[in-house]
Amino acid sequence: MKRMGRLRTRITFSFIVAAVGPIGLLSVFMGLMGYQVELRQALENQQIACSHAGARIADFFRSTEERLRSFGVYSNFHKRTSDERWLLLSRLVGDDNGFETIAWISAVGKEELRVSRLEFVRPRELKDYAQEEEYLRAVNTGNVVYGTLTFNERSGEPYLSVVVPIKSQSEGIHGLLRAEIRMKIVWDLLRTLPTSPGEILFVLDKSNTVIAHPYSSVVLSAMQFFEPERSGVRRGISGEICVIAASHFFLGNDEYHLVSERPWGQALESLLPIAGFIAVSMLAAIALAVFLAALQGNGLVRPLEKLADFAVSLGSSAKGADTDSYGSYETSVLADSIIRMFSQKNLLLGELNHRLKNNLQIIAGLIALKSDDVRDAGDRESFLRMRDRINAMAIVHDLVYRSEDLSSIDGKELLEKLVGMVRPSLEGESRIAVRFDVESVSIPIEKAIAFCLLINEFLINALEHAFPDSRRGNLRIAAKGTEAGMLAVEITDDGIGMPESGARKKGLGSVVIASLSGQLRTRIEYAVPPGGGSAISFIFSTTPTDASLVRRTERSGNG
Amino acid sequence: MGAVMRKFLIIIVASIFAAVVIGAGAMGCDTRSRLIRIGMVNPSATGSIVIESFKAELAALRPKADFEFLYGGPIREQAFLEAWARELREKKTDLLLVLTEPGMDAAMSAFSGTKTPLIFWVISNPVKAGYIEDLQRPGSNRTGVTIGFSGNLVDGRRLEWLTRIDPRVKRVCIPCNPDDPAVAEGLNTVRQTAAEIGVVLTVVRVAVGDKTEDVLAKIPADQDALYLMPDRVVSPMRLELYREAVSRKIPLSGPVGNSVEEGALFSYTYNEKELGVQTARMADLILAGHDPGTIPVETPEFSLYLNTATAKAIGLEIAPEILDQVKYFSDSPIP
Repeated sequence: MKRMGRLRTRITFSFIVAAVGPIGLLSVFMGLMGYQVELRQALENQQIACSHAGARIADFFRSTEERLRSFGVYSNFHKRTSDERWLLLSRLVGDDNGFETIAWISAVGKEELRVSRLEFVRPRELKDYAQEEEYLRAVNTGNVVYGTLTFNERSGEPYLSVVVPIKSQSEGIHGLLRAEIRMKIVWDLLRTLPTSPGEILFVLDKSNTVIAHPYSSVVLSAMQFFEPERSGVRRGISGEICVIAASHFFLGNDEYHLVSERPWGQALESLLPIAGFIAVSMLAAIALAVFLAALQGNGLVRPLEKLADFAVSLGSSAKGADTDSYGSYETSVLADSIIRMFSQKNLLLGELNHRLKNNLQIIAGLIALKSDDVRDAGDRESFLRMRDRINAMAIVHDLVYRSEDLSSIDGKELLEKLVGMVRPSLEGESRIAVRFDVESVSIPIEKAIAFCLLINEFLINALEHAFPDSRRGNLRIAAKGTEAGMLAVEITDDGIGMPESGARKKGLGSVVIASLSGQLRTRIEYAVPPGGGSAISFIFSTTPTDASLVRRTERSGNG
Repeated sequence: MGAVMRKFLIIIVASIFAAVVIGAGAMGCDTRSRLIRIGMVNPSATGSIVIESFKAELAALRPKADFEFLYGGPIREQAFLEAWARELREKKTDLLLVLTEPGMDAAMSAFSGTKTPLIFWVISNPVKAGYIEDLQRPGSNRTGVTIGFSGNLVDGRRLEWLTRIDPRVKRVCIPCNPDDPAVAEGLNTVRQTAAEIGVVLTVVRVAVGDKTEDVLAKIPADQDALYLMPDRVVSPMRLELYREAVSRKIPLSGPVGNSVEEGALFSYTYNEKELGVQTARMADLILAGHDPGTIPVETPEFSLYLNTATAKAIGLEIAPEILDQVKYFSDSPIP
């Protein structure tokens, strides 16, 4: 049963592999290709969004720089009175709430005025920037300088400071405008930029610190994001696996990055229906393959299982086991069928042998009747010999017909019947005493005919030629089986003995003997017993001949 | 068929069912959006402008969302305010919007022990009031917009504007209720600013139940300007104060933009509509799943408001540099 189970499993999995394997490989290939295409498309889209956003952010800061510079230059700010300066700066602060504070710093680094969006700035709060890096860089280079992100202690809002030198070609630097740019304005700008669902844009400064993000808590925690240039699928600042693209822009001499981050699942959203379709298709194919495999497996295995069950059942029956527990009815029906089949076969074989015997006897009778019409004694003798040979064959078929297994006959019974058949044909049968010294030996049916005809030839020769002139004598027939499955046969008489080998007649009997001994694969030994007379002996195998060997022998015999 | 094969088939069928469900989900099956209930606690008459602006902006930010706004109108009495807040809790509000300190007190009492997100509006000092832990990281489940800080308030800036709009102003009278902590906070800032810019302040104490004419009578005749704080006690008598300033031909600075619409000369304050937009964006963040406690408290955008009819009534000529900076003009006369 276990073997049957394994066979069924092998058939099922072989079928599944054969049916689904190519589809699976194709699906995996299609999935990978689709993923690559979608990822490339998502990266391109985000890269475009990044570039646009980066340009917008850079434009915002550059326009802010330009606004401050032009404001400072064209208003002749350095020539204005204190009140005028306050009004000018106040107007700049109040224009769009983009600045938290704006301060005027003199050319020597002294903060002279600061206007805040929210609060009144007391004069004592003004600072000295002479040693501050942003001041020194701006004065030394004459360029705009951006500071680092700082947080207002009172409002909590982050600001990015920018220092813009106000200068003229003839007089050099008049002073500097220092503005604190509200990053909230940049956050709002990031919010308004066109993005895909789930996509978040944020800005990193030169130290890779997030300085603008739609969610201010990210900025407030001073979160850092490394390797912004490395685009692709990686963990984003949100902690999720994201598709990330980046672009960069310069503020002053400092490089800033604008990063686009979109959750992987959303960026490759259009891949999900394809993946779902492939998965459903694959599972449907597997289910169909399993169903077909089960059908095919059953078709192949079930007959074998029945045979195996039947064999087990028969075996159990033979051992006297109780077969009722396993399909007793079916088993008994099958067993009855088989038994009936065997019985019918034996009946047919027995009937065939019986018919053969009858036919041979009819033929022998016809030959005997015909022999009466033959006048020549020699010819008549030949007819009678032929009749005896046919009768000898009929004896074999008769014994086969009467045997139990139809495959062998008892050698002792054969010899007795043969002698009984031959003796009446001889004149003065009582003058020759026949002694049997024969063991009961089974002779296979395919050798029985040859054996019977061979003995028949020897008996006729002995009875006809060993005791001429009504001479009395003894005939001994001995047959003894050996352990090697051989049967040793010896026929001795105390007759006149055989002529020398060269003087023997080469008649039909000798040809028949030579032929029959060949069929029995034996060699005939001729000898003279110590008391005179003659002795014939041979030994042959009584084991059944292999059918294939017989056929090979027949073919080789036919040339 | 063997038991192994049956189990195998069951697994296959279950996998197909799961794959169909997942696949259908992946192929675009959408679920209906959940109803979001937003409750509002407002004791201020001017809060409705903020609320309407908030609703419009939130609907624009989340066009597919299904909102139910639970708003009982301005409720002045504290007991009724607290009852309304309790009703909002019973209605299982998803997000709570609260105006001013009295509103916060009522809301925090009613929603104590819950995790309902709360956004506050126009709180002077939420840290000092104990509503939040820190402006950058409010903690708990609250965030919002504040109009003042522990140091200088925008009231100081407004006083500075007063002296810029009318440079003649040297003495300023402030009728207020200094027993209100929020008022006291702002008053302190104004005093500091006044000292810096050389302005002499006169504070007229107004208590609950005081009559308007009595308050008007307490304002000295030599004052150059009137300055009103965001004050619940003084607010009911604001129109009489506007008329008094016009009759005396002196400027009056109101606390909110709406006061300029009603007749005050000017204000430097937030815009209610912009405030609604600002808080709607905060609500959008919270509805997107962000913890309110990690969303920093914001400050509103401040702008200059001016009533040209009042300026004309008191005979004040506004300098062009000032007019350039006015964002919201009004020409409504005092009713």
